[in-house]
Amino acid sequence: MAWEIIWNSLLSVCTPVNLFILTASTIIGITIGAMPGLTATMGVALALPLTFAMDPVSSLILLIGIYCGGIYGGSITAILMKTPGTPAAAATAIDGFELAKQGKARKALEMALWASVFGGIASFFALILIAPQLAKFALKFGPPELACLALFGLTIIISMSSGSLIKGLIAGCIGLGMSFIGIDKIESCVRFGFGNADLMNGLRLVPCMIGMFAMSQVFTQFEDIFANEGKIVPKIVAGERLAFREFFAELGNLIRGSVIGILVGAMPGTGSTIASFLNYNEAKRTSKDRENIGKGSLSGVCASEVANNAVTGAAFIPLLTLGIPGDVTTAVILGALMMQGLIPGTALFTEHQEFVYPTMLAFLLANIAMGICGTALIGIFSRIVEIPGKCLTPVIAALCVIGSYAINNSFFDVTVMIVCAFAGYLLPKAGFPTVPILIGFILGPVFETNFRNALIMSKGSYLIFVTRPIALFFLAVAGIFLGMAMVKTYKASKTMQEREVME
Amino acid sequence: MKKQWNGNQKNMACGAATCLTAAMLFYYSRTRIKVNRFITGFGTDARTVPAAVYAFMFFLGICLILTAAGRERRGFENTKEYKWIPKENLKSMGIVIFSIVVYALLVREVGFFVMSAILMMFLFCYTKVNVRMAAAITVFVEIALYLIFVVVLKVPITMDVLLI
Repeated sequence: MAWEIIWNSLLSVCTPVNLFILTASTIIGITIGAMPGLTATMGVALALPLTFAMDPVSSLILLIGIYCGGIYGGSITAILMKTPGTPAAAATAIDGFELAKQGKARKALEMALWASVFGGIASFFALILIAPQLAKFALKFGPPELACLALFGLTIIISMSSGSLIKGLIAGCIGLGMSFIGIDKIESCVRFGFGNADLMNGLRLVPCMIGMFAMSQVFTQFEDIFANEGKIVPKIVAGERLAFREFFAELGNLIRGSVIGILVGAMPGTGSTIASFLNYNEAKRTSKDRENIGKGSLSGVCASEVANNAVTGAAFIPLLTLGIPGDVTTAVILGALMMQGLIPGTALFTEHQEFVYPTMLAFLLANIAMGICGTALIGIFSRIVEIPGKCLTPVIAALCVIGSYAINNSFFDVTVMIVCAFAGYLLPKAGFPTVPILIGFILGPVFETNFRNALIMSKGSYLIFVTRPIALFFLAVAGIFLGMAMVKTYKASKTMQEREVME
Repeated sequence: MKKQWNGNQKNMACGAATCLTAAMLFYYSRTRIKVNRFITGFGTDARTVPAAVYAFMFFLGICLILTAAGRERRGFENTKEYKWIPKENLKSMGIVIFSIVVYALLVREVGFFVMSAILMMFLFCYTKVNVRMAAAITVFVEIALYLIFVVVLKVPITMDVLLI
């Protein structure tokens, strides 16, 4: 039965149109990732308006291609210019750039590519094996469990957001506040409409995401838009290539990195940056070549890249089964799912199997496409880093405006996008992270609806949240994570104070 | 010399702004949301969660003020300097923002794609790109957008098909 589903899913993914979308999106993803300052999240946010007119499978294939390609693409600038294209490639820059200086840029790029492919394929197997089992468990969830799960999702992601915990929580509240605008789903009354007809319909997710994660980056680009001019990028085409034995010599590193990436990715709110640094440190501790790690070692590049790409598929496990995004990019993809009328969770596995398994298979195919395109076009991708920011920025700005307008032919959406862009640029300057805003905005309605339904079920008794074991479990874990974050913040502030006293 | 706020003072200002916003929104949620009395929520209604969230946000604002005030009193300064857009790039940035605003105002009159072409040309020219190159990129992006939105995705963008 399971094989039949997988075979049918493979047939539905392998149509000429879908294969074209997959290849094109992977190339676009690598291109976006390879441009300094542009991230996979931004690429996915910009591609969202395109998914409106597509069927759900094709739209998810498009986003997955950009996501996987974008994470790998970040390593290209990291290796060639020591400027990570994405935060996840920061560890790659340490060894990759040293290798490039030694004239081994091509070798480093090929190691990054194949390690990424290995990690990506490993995460696909984790996704296809673990997600259906977790979805079966999630069948037991009712409104109280779902409310506690949403609360758990909110706290874990807020507590793991960088910087101040208080500011992270405030940002989460801002996101929740944005989700309240519009008509209440249970009582059908207007909330926070302020007499404005557009506000009464509520804020749409896509303009908010485009503003916060794409347009805000345009403003950030203006901070050093002319900085990369005149930077010399090593010529790599004639460089030494990666030998098979060099790749397979890293098998232990690849397997360990995949496991770390999958574990980190499956945990909501973590992301590929943490995974790549964890495995990089492990490689530094245990590798045979540990003396050279940090000074230009293939093991370092391999460790970072395998782990950050192993996160991609694993981050989809909590997303598809529980509706909790694993990282920022999957949070944006969650928005895309909701736009298609697909609510992640158990229902997705029981009612939309024709969508779930093709999505998982898209991971496998995106990684294969990445390997093929990456090898064939490595010379072109290495030239992408030379495209000046001053050329890219106007295109992105225009795409942001066009993308948010095209969703609904509405200027209100463009206004929302611009307001969110200013918020996305200014709030981090004051230390408020933007990811909790998005998470609050997405999980807010899930939490509120289920919380109120649970109270209707219990006739107003709050005990329903502590007498049901699964709900209690999620509440306890949320409490533990929040507590841990508070302790971490306290320790960090103590250390900072001690450092200031010393200075 | 102009006095600069330190990090703690900025945090206190942020906390005060948070408290003020949260208090206003809390008041609004308690008084202005017209709940449906025919639907029984057993103690909850459309006001409950927003009011609770804004009350919590008010509490967080107070926490932020107290934390920053405590650090200020003990003489610890947050010395982190944030990077801002340099003055020489502000002109380009201003052009981008201005273009977007003009674009939003005029698009209804002259059409979506025509306006986006003008916008992009404008943006390219003012971000110090060669005008011929700007024109080439603009035409390329325009054709790509037309193919993607109108031909492939069949997004019903008003007036544009006629005007392109």
